[in-house]
Amino acid sequence: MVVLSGCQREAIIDTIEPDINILAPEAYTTLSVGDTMSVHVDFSENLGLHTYFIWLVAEDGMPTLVEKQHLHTPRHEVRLAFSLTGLPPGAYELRVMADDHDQNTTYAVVPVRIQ
Amino acid sequence: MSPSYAALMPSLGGHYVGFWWQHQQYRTFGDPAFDTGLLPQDEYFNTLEIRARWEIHPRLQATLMLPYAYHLRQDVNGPRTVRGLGDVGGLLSYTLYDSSDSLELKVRHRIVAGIGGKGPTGAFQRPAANEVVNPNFQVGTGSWDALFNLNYTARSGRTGLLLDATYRLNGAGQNGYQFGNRFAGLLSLFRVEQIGGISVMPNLGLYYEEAGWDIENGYYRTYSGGHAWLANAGAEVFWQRYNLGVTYSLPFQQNWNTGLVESRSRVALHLNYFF
Repeated sequence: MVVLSGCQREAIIDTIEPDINILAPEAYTTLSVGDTMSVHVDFSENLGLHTYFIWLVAEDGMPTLVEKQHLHTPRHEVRLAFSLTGLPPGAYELRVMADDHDQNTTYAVVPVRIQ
Repeated sequence: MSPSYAALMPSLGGHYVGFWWQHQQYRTFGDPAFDTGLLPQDEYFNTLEIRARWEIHPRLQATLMLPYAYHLRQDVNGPRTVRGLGDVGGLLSYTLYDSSDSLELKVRHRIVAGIGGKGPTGAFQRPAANEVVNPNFQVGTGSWDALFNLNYTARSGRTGLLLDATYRLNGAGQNGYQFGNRFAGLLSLFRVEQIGGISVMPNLGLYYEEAGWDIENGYYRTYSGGHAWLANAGAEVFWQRYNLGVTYSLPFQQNWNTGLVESRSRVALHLNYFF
């Protein structure tokens, strides 16, 4: 592969990671069990996103999947309402992961509290 | 993913014109982390080519390839087709060494080198952002490409061996997309049997092809390209001025597009008329 690619015009392997901008919830937002949490995340990628995952992760590391998607687009916006019904009170992190087709990966985290 | 294919063409002199047809099957898979319930997509690539060879000199031959492509993709939304004139190609071949007429040698050899090109006469649409797995679903590449070919034949009595190697150096299209360079190699063993006035050449071979990464706007598409090994079985029939050939190929080892594309069987058929 490298040999065949080596004779082509100058090109580089993409090393630029996706951008993740968590607009909601705001850091240290306090919510109540049974509420719905507004989630608003903007993604952008110079060549195109591959996948993203959004989890709500408890203090003990137990993740709850909020959303995941397999897509191929330079920009993507997620707006959703996530129900907190059944989650025990405590400190949580909204953890977002996105990668592109060249395995460049970005993580973003916002701490939230459920009471 | 080669639009043209090589075949055993024993050192018959003269010009020919013929129809060359090739059918290739591919299967593309979704990402297993997301598309667990999604069925794979089947793709069928068909190319019908008018191929003509002009013998400029006993050692120098010009070959013109005029393809028409008809491709079909079968997915959950139904069939999708692309069709039309493909990329016109030409090859100038020079016989570097030829002892095939020798009565003294036990093993006779023939070496032919070729150089040529391919023009962007076929329609090419830059792959959409969501067409990750197989941007080859097109009738053309949108670029000027150079072709280099080396062909070696050794023959002893009724048995022979063919080595054929083709390298395609791809240019960039005006749309900023450049397919990776391609290499194809064929090793084939054949035998010539005379049945009345008909010569029959059954053959068995190994075919290897490899493609480098595509480039888009200065970046490698690292999930493109790959390689495949195929086993070939076929036969050539020569009767008077006619030549009919058929080849069946089955991949036995491959890795295309980081495993998301699977090459399946291929069938090729050609009919030539010599004059």
